[in-house]
Amino acid sequence: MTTTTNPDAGLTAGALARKEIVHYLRHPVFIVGALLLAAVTWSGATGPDKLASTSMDGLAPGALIGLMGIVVMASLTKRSDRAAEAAGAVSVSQRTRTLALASAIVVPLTCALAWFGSAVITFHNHPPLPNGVQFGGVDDGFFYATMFAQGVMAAVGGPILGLLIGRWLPRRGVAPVAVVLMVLVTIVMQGLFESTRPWRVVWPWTHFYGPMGVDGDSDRFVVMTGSPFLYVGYLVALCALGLLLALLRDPDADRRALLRVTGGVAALALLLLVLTILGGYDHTLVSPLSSGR
Amino acid sequence: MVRYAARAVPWVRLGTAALVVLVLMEVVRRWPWQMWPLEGTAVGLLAGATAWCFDETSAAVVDTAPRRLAWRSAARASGVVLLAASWMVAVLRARDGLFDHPGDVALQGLVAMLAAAAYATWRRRAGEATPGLTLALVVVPLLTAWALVRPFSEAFPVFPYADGSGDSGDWGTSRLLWASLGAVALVVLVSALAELGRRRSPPDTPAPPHLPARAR
Repeated sequence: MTTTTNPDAGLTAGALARKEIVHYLRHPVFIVGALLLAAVTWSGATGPDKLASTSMDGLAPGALIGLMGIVVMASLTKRSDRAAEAAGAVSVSQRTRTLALASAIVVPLTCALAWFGSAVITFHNHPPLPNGVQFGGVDDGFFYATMFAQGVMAAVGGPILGLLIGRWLPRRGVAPVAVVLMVLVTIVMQGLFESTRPWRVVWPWTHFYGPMGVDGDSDRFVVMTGSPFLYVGYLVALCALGLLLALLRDPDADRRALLRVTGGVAALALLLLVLTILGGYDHTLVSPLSSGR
Repeated sequence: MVRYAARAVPWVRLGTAALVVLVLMEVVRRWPWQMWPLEGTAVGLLAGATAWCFDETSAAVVDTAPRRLAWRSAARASGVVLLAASWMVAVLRARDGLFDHPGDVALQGLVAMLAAAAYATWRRRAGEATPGLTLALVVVPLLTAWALVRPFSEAFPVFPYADGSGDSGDWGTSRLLWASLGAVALVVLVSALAELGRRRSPPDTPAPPHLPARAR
């Protein structure tokens, strides 16, 4: 049982946020993921794929920072709760601790932004070959928006999902199993199957282009329906929704006000989802050139 | 031993993991080209779940009991048998979709389990109560991410993609990597179970005042 008695919440929140940022930076899972991302980014920058350049590399920060961020944040949340429990009567509310944990997301965000900068520069300097991913007048912005969604938003979304798990399902083994289930559904929803393509953007990680293939050329590049620009907006709304749901766990929270805001953000997310599905190209574009693979 | 295993092993978690492994490999069986990364994901989950078997949440009490680590680990290995059985069934069912490498795929899972068991037993011998929880938090997302991104796939093919063509990673090198890991894990496991290197106090040394004599 914890009691909230702090008169100077602002200072405490700042100090706690700094502490959680340091905890995130020192977490071994994050360190391993960040080192691997650095190696993969270097390899992508020095020898980009000829047909896709770095446009398909969003998977690396998505998996190495985002996916691993699920367990990092879930374990930091558990650690924060354990510390609060051990202290007994503590001066920090669960809301403040949740916000401090959320502020640690600046760490994966910075990593992902560094990757994004490198990937954009490489894409600009080493554009794909004509039979590659860029065809039919699809502009660079389309690729940058997708790379941002797949890399940066996934790196932020993963830890927020970890925070949500830490708050609502703080049982042993839930975070690793969540990682596995996340990958299982993501692979199904990434646009490889015709049946999921129209509504695949419901899921927080998907492709907008790639070597999905056509009859007779299994690696032919296609550009799929949906707007990656609006998809980024949808993902931002999902992240905000995740944070609000984590805050709702606080027994001392003003639930009515929080639920009102959560409902509003959920409605906004739904609107952005519909716009994402309706926006962008209205049919799948197929590259006129053979992939040559 | 059966009663101890029934109470000490986290059967619900292991059952869930075994079921998820079966589902993952069933998906690989149906769409091997597209879903191949799930094979590495399953291997990661097997390693994490194996490590869970050896966690001793009541270590402070149990470690002072007369039963040795080898006896307790043997009892807890019943959980590993369940995982190994689910893995073998999953690989056997999916063998036609494993690009003529069902043996290599089976090896990856079994070695991952052996390595996780070796690490957890070694850490248990060192007095750590729940090394499995820590290991699972690292190994499941790491192997999952590795299976997706496949960094250094030419030099270090942990999970060769499908038939291993192009730059998907060489199955022969991968086999060598996994076999080497298995050999190292076996040595670590045997030395941990034999409690080699265990520090023993001379008979006339009194126990530290805050510990019972058996806990030394």
